[in-house]
Amino acid sequence: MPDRWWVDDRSLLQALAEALRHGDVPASFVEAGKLAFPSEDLDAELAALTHDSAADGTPATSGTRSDELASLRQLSYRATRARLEIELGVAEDAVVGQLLPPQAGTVEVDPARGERTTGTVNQAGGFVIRPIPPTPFRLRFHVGAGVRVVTEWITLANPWR
Amino acid sequence: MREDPLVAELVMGVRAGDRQAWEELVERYAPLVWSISRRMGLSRSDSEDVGQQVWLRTVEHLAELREPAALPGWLVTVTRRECLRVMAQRRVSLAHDPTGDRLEVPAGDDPAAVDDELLAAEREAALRRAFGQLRPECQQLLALLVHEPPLPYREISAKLGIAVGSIGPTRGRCLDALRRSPALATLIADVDPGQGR
Repeated sequence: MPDRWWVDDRSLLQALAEALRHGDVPASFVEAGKLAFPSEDLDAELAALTHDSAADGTPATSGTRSDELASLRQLSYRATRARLEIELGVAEDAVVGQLLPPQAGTVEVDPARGERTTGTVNQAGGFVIRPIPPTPFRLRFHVGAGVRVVTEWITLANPWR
Repeated sequence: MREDPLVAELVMGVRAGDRQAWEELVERYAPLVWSISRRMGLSRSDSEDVGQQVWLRTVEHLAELREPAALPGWLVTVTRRECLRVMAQRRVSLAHDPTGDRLEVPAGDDPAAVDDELLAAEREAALRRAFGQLRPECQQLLALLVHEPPLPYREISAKLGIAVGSIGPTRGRCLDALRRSPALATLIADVDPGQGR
């Protein structure tokens, strides 16, 4: 764009053309943005990603306690104040999780787009989410006496899609 | 756009859990995020994915933003990074496509590039407002003149019911009206204070 793009008719028209093209923001784009606002759990502690097997090239084998499913990728999250660790193993058709220390509760799957679903975390701290939710999603845990923890947004992007 | 007192107000609102402030913020900055992604050459569907990630990150990190008025610059940086990430993924998947190598990969947070994006966004927003302030006749003509692909004058003449010979002069008058409209005149005076046009 020339410095004084408004002086010349042709460059002004060109600038207008770009402005009108770029202003053509789809309504779905704006709506998706509005939905990103957290509707609740502003007081839940955020569990941060501490390990991702995909990032450091570690072979993802066992690690979670539910070893019946071979995991392709392992992720660990930690909420420091709640002293809760969340280990996730991503298998082909499910996410297998483990809370440490082991404790029972509920896990809510909250995808950025789509419906939320709630599942249970068993006494041993294990849970299975099947099928794999559309990404990005986050997991909200309700365990013990009002302990609420929510993970960062989890993206299992497939670069090949 | 860069020194907008309303931004700080909206950011504070969002931090306090005000959903309406968030929605206003998204409406205000959606064109910025969208146009950066489009200018960087991403498809509409990739641009929607980029937006998704940008908003999620914004919600997560808004509390850490030290200077709320710095939000637009921050958004530009995050959007550019997200675009580069998507472009890199596409590059991987296009590894065997000879055109895949032609993608340019500019730096995500080069301060000059961030400033350029903000200036471009400011210019485009002013142009759109100015366009909205024009008479309907001018809006119709200019919209046809910037049509992609370009339309021949005789087609424009047929659509608007005006003679081919008067398209040029009308175009000139409409562009003058655009320059003089408050939205654009203010911007021009800001950029070029010595201009007595």
